[in-house]
Amino acid sequence: MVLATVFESGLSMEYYLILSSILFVIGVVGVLTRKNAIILLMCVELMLNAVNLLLVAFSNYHGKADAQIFVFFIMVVAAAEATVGLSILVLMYRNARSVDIGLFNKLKG
Amino acid sequence: MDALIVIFLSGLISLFIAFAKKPVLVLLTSTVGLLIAIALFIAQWNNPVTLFSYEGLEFTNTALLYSIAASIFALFSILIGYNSYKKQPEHTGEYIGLLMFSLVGAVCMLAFTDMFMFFLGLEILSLPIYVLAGTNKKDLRSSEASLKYFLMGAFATGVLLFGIAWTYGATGTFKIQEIGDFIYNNQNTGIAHSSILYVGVLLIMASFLFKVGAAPFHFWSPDVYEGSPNEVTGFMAAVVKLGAFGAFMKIFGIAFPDLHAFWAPALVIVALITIFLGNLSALNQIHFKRLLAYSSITHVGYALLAVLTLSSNSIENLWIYLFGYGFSIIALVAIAKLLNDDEDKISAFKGLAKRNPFLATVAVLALLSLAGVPPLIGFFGKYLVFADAFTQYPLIVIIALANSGIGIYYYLKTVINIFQKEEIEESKIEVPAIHIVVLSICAIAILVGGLVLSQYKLL
Amino acid sequence: MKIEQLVPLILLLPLLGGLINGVLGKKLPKKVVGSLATAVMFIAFGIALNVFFQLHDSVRIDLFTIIRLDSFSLNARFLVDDLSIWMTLIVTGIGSLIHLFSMGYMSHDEGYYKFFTYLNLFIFAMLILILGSNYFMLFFGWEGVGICSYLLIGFHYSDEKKGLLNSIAARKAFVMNRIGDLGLLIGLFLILSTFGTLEYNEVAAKLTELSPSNWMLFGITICLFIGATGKSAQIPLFTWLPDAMAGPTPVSALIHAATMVTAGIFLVVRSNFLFETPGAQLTQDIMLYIGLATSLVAAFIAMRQNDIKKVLAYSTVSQLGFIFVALGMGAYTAAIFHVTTHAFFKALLFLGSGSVIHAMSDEQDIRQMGGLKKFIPITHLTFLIGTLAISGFPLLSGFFSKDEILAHALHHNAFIYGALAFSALLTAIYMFRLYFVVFHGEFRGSDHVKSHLHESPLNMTFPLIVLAVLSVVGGALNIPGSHWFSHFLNHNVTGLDKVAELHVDNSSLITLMVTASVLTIVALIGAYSSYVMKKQLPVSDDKITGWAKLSANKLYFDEIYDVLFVKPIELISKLSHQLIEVLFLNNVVLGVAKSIGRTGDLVKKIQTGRTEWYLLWMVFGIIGLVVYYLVKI
Repeated sequence: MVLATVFESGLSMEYYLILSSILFVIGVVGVLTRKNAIILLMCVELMLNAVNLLLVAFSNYHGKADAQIFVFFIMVVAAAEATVGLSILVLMYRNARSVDIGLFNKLKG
Repeated sequence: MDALIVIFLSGLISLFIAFAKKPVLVLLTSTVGLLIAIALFIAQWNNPVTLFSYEGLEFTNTALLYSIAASIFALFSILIGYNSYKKQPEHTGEYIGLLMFSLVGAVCMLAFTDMFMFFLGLEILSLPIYVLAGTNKKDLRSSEASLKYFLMGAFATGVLLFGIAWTYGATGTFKIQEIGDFIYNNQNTGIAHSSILYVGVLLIMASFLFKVGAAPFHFWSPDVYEGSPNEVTGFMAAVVKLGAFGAFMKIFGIAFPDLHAFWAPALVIVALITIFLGNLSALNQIHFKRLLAYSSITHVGYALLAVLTLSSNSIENLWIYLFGYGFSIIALVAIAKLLNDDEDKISAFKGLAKRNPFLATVAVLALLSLAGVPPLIGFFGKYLVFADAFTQYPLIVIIALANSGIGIYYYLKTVINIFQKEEIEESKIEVPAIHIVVLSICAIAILVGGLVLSQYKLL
Repeated sequence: MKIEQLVPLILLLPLLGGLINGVLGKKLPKKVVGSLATAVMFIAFGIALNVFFQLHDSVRIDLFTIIRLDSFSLNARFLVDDLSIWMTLIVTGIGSLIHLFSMGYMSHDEGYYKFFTYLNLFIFAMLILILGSNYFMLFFGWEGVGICSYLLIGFHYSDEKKGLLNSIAARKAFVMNRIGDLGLLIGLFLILSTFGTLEYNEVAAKLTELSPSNWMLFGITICLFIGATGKSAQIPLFTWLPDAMAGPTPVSALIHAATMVTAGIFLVVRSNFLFETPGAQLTQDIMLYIGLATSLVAAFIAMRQNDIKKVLAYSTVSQLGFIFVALGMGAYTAAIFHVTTHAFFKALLFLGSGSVIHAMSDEQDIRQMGGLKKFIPITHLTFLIGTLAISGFPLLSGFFSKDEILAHALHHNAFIYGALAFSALLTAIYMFRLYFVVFHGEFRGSDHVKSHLHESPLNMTFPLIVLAVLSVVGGALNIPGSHWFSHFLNHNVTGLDKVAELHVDNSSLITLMVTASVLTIVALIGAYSSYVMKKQLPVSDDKITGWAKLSANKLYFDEIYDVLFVKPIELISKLSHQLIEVLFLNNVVLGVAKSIGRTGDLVKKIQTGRTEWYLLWMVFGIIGLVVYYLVKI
């Protein structure tokens, strides 16, 4: 019941901003702290989803649909990116038998 | 738009022809496709009538100019890969196809009118390059370059989208012209100076700085340049830079020019750090492509001055700068590839003047052009950008000039290597006819390009 | 064709010849190289003749603008008037003959194509110098002549025996010329700052308009004169010219007769409007006395030289001194007249000496020669004509041109006349000495050399004959009574029309001529009696004493310069090397470079190769931008 009224009355914009920012920061922190490349990829996805949430919220706020269409594009691109990323990871795993990014430091200096 | 479709289709056809296992055929298809595309670009000059049109892309003369340069460099990158195709004929199709798709993305990035196409162009440009960087599948360094580039690229994409979202929130539109109008119309009220917009601008700027490779977002570039196959390095340095700088110039010149006072100081700091960092890191390099990468970081620092200036000539100056830069870098990676040195040492150039005078001449020309020696094209690019920026940022131009002096040190170090006598006599270097053509064109462009281009006002 | 098209062609031809020979010459046969180089010269001479006959008023030809600033532009522009076309005729005409001669003389040389490349470029540079319409073009040609002469004097730098000496001689010529060039350059800067232009006619026009101070005019003219002393070998910068004999003989002929040494004279004549101003009065006097001193000193030194080319070299210096005396008196047409006749007989003498050296298997010491007249008759005859001409034998070209200068001198000051006449007497004595020792008496060389004695081929003797004819009849150009040449030059050359003509009345003219003739004939008889009748011979260097020793050792000029300039400068440079280079620069400059290099190593360490660090840096970057935003707000 409470939830229903909350949605019907509409939350103010700030909550969405704060929520998506928090999600984004979680994604960034995840990217920084995790060593497993697959989890890194997931954290990037989280960042993108934070963006999606923000865009939808703004779309609603401005009363325009274009941002929602943008969200679809982002989803498609994210899927493509995940495909490419995972195939690179497979390639990496074949060569190094690991997907720990801490191990890949042949190129430096 | 027509040219874009031609590039895409010839890329697609290249992919399928590859099943015939005839690399020459693939090469021919892509070359013809690109030449047609260049011709179409030229035909649209001042005359934007096309068969196909889409309002998300607008081929202004600026976009055409940058697109022509990008197509030429893409063509050269494909041609100088000739040796690899002979070695691995089964991958020719994918390789060339991906390059062409990436070029499609670059052209989208140069001709977009809204953030949709910009974002899509950026991704179409980037995704194939992540793969291309890892072309040498058995080589761990190549895979590492690919992975590093991908992870950081994906991260930067997230940042970019976050920035776009904030900007959208502040302005309510994705069209860059409308964003610009919105800021212009509201610049005396608080709406154009909201925190939301400012954060959006900064985040977009950060992702651009990543794409062009400016400090402190540059860390990917030396590793990726070194790890990738040489042709891909050439493509990244020439085409990706053109696309990224073209879009950078467009968004900050059309959407955010009225916020110049806000973002310019930040960019000044970034440009200075970039110039110093690139130069200092390049000083003691022993790997040639790494040297090129660091020098390219420095060049990015110089080119950022054009973005900072935003005068009526900046777009053209920046184009001449990147155009000259592209010829030099492609010639150098092609020569480095012919030297057939897996370790990518600068010392591989030793005795080149004796072993192959033609390659040595082109290499020296390219290096001197990068160093900015008149009357080569690199000098004119640098001169035009610096001269344009001087009235607004005299101090920074002077610092940049001083840094050019440091730059001469490491370029000449390579030149010295070229003229040094080699202890061990090595066999002569085989230069395929395609390379001779490409390198000759590069040499001519480097020699006379600056003299010719500076005579005309293109835009 | 019109003059506007012909004149650039004159310049283009030697340049083209030089370029073709320089690029392709190594692969072409010698005959083609030599013929090409010579042919372009003859064609250029033909065109110059054509221009000469067409020319009425001075013509300006614009090629292109070199530098354009707001109020000032440097133009590649040519000025064709009677002075420049006359000099062009001399340069291309004598130049052609020397080219022709060189084809035979250099035929055994390995660097044949290089030689002709340099020769053609030399002519090109000289033509630029002459034909340019402003001081910048003059300076360009001036420097071009300098570099070409350096290359040619040191041409045999790799010779086993004399290679080092040759390069040292070339270096000396270059350095001496540089000192003069500096003077010229300062002069040009002064002109530019005073008049705001370097064009001759504009400077001349603004001279009355701006009327600069006397001191400035003195400064300008003295600087120009310093430049002229370098190229035209006057005291104190003359010592390079005798040393320049190290080059192949045709080069000596070219430098001495037609091109390089006339550059300084040309400069003064060209700038006559500056030298005729009241402020430049002092410069003119300095010029006069320096010319006089040079003439006497060089003539004195030439008395006891035993190298056939050295004698001729000092005679050139002496004659140049003569000409500068004329310039100092404002007798510009007389100066150019003497330049012309001097070009004829000096080219003749040098080429003749080349022919002698060629016959003597590269022996240059006159003590090894003697009695050559029966072995090489054509060379002998033409050399005799040259000797008579330079000595001022009546009715030959040198007689009239010297007479003109002597007439001016008598009009100016009796002392100068006396000194000049004495110098002319010395000239006659040493030239006859040279002639008799070389061509008369017994042959004193080795039998091996004797067996090789031969007359030179036609392409070497032909130029000699042509030049001999010119040396005989050249005096007719400005023969008293018609004075065609003076009228010709005064016709359209800026400034010269304003210089007052000197008209000598007939009686004093006859007196002058008779005096000169008597002096020459006395010298001839004296030399004949001592070197042919008494068979006196030059003794070896260690036996000479008194004034002869002074003369043989060139008045110790080189040694004095060594002590005065070279040694102190060497000392200073050694000190500076120790103090500035080793102590200061090495520590400071290299220290800075090293510290930058070390910073580079440090900075490189940031690039750890670890992706997580890179990502962290990126986040730091973004945080930095956000902090920037917060600070900015």
